[in-house]
Amino acid sequence: MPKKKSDLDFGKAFAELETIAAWFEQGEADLTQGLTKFERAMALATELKGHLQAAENKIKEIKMKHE
Amino acid sequence: MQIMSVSGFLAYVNETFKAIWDAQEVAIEGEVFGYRLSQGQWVSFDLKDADGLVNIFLPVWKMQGPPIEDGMRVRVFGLPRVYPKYGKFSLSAERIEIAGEGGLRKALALLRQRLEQEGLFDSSRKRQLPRFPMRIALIASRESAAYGDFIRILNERWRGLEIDLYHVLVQGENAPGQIVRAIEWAGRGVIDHALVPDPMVAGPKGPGRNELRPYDALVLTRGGGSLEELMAFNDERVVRALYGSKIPTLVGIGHERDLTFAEEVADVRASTPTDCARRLVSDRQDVLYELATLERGISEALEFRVDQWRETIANSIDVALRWIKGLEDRRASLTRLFQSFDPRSVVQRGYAIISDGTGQVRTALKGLRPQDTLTIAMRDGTAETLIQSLYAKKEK
Repeated sequence: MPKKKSDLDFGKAFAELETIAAWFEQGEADLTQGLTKFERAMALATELKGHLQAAENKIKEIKMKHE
Repeated sequence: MQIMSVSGFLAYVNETFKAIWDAQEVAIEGEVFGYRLSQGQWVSFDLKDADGLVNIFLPVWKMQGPPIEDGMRVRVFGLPRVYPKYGKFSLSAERIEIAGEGGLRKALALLRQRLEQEGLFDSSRKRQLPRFPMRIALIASRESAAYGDFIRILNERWRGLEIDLYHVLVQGENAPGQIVRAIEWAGRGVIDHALVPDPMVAGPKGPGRNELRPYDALVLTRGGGSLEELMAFNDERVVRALYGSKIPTLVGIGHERDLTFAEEVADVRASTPTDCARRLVSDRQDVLYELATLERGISEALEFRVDQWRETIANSIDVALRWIKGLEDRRASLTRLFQSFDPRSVVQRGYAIISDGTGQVRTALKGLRPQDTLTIAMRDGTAETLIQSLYAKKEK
């Protein structure tokens, strides 16, 4: 299935954002890497916020055949 | 007169019982006596009251409630029957209920002991629910207030969940079977929607439509009730199905008194359906705040880094400039040094440079003879001259 917005794995994306934040806290000093990570972090944050603001909970009933 | 064979008579009697007896609606209540299990398959005991006794017989798989033992009061549903081979009259039981709350409690205490000994309630095997679950299997009654409460709080707190409702009865004799079945279905994880068409799901069915990821959590919930009403959640089959679930389990039953075994075996237990929703998902406002904090932290850290980099670059330029200035100073002093060696500056001070006919500078008499030509270079030109005579200095 192609990756849609709703396919975002919230837990994974959130964990990745936390890892980037921790990387910055540690004070690594590589400008190129820092900028790449910053861009990735901002994209993740936008996606996560979007997920929380736009998406709805989908409920469907699974029909079980009762014996 | 009519003559019947013995077996014919017994068959007639059994047929008659079958025709007139309502095994679903009529139960015989009495006290259990001489409970025994033979060949691991058959349960038999006597059911007694002050004035009578009847033998009860049933296959062990029909014993689905909590375990019973001698002295308990039970209600037996079943068919009166004479076993032809021995002419023995018994009640062929279909199901047995424990009578009265006292009896029920005693039976539950026995079951608890057994399940505890087996380690079903061990806290060491409890799993954590994922922090951000995405797909949830919800086992509840769609008509229950518990279902409504759970969904309402879930919608208030979080977005983007995929909830599959497995509608089940949550009380009554069919409830445990349905709950177990729902747990098993959910455990398969991948639900083939091609086989289970759902009018509530719109949209085209693309390829991979049936490849769903496994559930992140299995939720079993219902509202409060009396001990009898909650018996499905004390049913050994339900407890074992939850115990065997590969999906982390969350069970929340609203009640005031004892916990049910389903809650005790669950990885996470909630006190009510509402509490279930709270334990399952974070409040999105909190997470949005957390996101904002993370974002700000990263931005500030980057700004700080950029400032540091800027300072480093400025320092580097300073060092380079100082280095260049050093080179310049050195060049100037070397120039001065070289200038002091320039022969022209010597001529300016009153000295002259003497060279021979070949242009070679001469600083001594050696090799010179009278009548040789010398060239004398002075400040504003040269003069050619002949050597008259040579007087060497006496060597000391």
